[in-house]
Amino acid sequence: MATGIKDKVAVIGMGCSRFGERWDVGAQELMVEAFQECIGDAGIDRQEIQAAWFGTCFDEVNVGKSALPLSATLRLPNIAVTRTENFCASGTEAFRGAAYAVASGAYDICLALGVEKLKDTGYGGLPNFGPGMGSQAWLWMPNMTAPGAFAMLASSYGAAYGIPEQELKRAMARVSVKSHANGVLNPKAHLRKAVSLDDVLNAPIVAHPLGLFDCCGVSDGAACAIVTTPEIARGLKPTSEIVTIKAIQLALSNGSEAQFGAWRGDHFVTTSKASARAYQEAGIADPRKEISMMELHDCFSITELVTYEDLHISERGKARFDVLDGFFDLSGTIPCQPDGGLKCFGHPIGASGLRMLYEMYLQLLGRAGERQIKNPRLGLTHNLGGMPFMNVSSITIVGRHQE
Amino acid sequence: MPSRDRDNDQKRSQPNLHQFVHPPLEEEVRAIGGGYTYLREVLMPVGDRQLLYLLGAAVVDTSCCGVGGCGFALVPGFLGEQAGLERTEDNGRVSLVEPISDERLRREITALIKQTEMVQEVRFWCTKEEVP
Amino acid sequence: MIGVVSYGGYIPRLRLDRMAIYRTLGWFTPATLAVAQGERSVCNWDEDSLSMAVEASRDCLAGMDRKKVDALYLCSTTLPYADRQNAGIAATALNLPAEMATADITSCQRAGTTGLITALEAIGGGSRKAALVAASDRRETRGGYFYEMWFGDGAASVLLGSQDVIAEYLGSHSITYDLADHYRGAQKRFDYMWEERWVREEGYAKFIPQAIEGLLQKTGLSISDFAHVAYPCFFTREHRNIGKRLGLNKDQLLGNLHLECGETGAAHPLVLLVTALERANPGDRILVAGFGQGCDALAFRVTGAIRSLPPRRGIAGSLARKAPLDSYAKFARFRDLLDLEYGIRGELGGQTPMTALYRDRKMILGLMGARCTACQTPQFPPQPYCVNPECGAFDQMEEYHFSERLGRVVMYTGDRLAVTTDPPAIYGLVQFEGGGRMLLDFTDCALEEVSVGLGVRMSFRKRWYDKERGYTGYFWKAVPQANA
Repeated sequence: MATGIKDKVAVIGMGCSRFGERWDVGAQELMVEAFQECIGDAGIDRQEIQAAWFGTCFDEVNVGKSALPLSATLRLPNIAVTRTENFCASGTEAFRGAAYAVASGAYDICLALGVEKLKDTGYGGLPNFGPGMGSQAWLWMPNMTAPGAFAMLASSYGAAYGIPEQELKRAMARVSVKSHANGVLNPKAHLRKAVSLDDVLNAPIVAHPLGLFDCCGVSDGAACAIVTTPEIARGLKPTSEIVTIKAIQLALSNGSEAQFGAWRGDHFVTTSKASARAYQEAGIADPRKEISMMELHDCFSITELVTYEDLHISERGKARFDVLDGFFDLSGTIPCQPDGGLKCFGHPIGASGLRMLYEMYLQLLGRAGERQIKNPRLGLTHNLGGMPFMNVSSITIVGRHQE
Repeated sequence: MPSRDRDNDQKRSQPNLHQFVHPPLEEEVRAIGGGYTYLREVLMPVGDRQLLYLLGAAVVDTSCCGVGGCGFALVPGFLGEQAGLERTEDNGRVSLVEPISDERLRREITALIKQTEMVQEVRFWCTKEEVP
Repeated sequence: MIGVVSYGGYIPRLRLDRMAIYRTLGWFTPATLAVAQGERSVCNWDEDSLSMAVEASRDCLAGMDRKKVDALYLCSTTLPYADRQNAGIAATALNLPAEMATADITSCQRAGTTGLITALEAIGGGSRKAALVAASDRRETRGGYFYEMWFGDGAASVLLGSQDVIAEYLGSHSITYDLADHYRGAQKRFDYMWEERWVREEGYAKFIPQAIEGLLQKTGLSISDFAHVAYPCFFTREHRNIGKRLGLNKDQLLGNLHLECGETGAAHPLVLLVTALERANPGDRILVAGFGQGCDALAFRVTGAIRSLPPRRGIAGSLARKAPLDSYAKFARFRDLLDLEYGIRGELGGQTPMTALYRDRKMILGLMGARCTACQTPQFPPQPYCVNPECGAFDQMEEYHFSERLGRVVMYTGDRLAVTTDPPAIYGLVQFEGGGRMLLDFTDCALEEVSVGLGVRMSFRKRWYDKERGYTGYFWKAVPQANA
């Protein structure tokens, strides 16, 4: 009976580029920026990497197909490199590939790198889905945007729990205010500016009922991790804290939300399942008590709000009370988005999952500077790719290695 | 727990009047997906009262899904006495306003503003009393 | 007895106040003030002749057995395809059987009445049993002239047959003269119009009376035998003058609908016929004529069966269901008279795959889903494994129609970022009564009118237009129903 990979894989190095509208650099330079930090942190030689995974989403406007861009950019020694693409979980999928390879015993040292260069398209935002994007869904599905799709979730979540629109908007605003306050403390963030509740509440609508501050943006960025066995990690870093993986779980929609009648549009079916499996893998019985901190996929404020419930941390229909109580503030019980989250980093899709892990890693090693959370033990990251009714959800839990 | 954003509200002098701190004009409030700017303040006579609204423009230019924006009006409410006379500590203008919470009145005012301004949205300022 | 078995109508919901045209363009053509009264109907940006014909036909087929329809004639001068049978698209959208005759009848303003006569003759001859005639037009005009004011958009449909006849066919008479009051060469977008005075005096004023005279002689009836006489003529004064010359009293002559919606091109005689049927009592005789390079005139007598026809929207219902189009600029954009910048992200490159479209034609055009025979769950799109997590049966699907079912909004938004002609793009997840759900664009509504739980009806709409290749694609949208 499989038991998962808890404590079988250690993270010995991580790196993260500065995120933003990086007109100055292309995907190659972003990869190198993140990698140089990572390899320096790991204290190994590039030639020691035995296999690599490469997460990117939009190959059309980004680096192109295959994993060759990573292999060639880093001049890797003709090793196996695999490209992963799974919407917003693309970076986490790269991490999972590398982690599973080490856990299986196939390799000792592996690299996971995610990058997305989105600002060479000539317009703001991700490319539109249409002909040439593979699926025929554009022949009949609405021409949705991500803000629109998640705005729909706000309408049905509010209706399911009888939450007046103004009350929901205020809770969502509080989610944004908290993340922006954290982002101010982070030199790698794209946007470093505190906002007031009034600024958020008075902002006009992007997709009803989501306002400007409820939505994340596009930016360029890269992040990476080097993983190995806990034994090798201990050998490389005899005196420092070791971070190990406690769980990685994914859950994907199968069409029932969008096509079967049971779902009320009040939660993420996938996240609810992926997180439960992750807690089991990590041996966590009560996440509200045991998780120290989180980086959630706050592509939209409503996503973060509803995800609190799907992580089994807030009660169903009541996440807004935790939000208003400051439970997820940097000074709260479970700080959420201590690095500022997608709201401050933007969302270079392939990089985001690894960027979140980077923050958890820094926090666990006590390297988060002004944002440092006191004595964290377990950190959780979450990605949600796609739409509320058809998505890819991933959960990763990392923590201090207990020997 | 109510937010601590509007300490000024505590100082209101009449039950339905609230202190509204005028936001600066021509200064962008920036979010990661875009930003918005108040362009001008307008006093519109409605019956025998003066309605205060701010005309704003939003540009959504770095969102994940394309480029957009809108014109909008933010309606603090009917102006009370002493409009703009008080100052906050950092020299912001403060007016006493009666916010509009009645749905029917909101619809009427929305229609009135849309007659004169090309705005896609009319937002009504909410006092912190509306916090759950 | 053969004749009309059922009827349906569709006038688009949007109306443009003619004074809005005048206020924008009157500086250029001040004379148009003379006809700038009332309002004209306007297709929403996602409607065209084909989509309106489908809507009118759905109305007409309410309560009828679609499996028995064995002919569809689509009559219009503004069909989306010059070579790809438009009637075939409509038949697929209407889920009509493949074993049937279909034809486009086009390139003349009396295409609608020609379609009626053709269908009635086929039924009279015994080769067809139930023929659907749909007439629809969305005529293009340049801005700033009378025709933009005179014309409106609309469609009407009539089912003809020999059982449960509500209006017996008494006969017809046609005349043909090559009088080009206007013409539109192949590949041309707009009509070229000759002097209106000549068209009135040599065209309308002569052809309509001549065709009606011929019909009266043929049928042995006199004009006073008719309770309702309907013919198109957007020159309102001339319309009345012709009536006087025919000896019609005010009650007999149906108005030309100038104030209500304008002249709906090839659809107009059928729009007027439906209007007459809506007002008629058993025993009434109806005379309807179509004008264009000659004239067709047809006579009917209403039967008692009209009392048992299930209620429908028709033309009267369509005219009552209306919303103002708030500016001429929108009208101009909707009709591509105004070229606006949609941005790089709005470029929807790439072709439409004909192979996939043919495979999925019933799903895309007919909104056909599937129902699992193991657990009875309706689902869309049709797939091999049942979507019900409790069931999951393999390959036990039967065809299931969603297009005529009422749905309810599960979740929705108004999206200001999505590229659309009329922002915000409103869309949502719709749960259908009886089961099944799908994501749909919403149309013919304002965001403020939508809420979770609201009822919606389906409407067949133009979905995309590939200007480079000339391809028009269609799908279904949800129309929110107030008080539903």
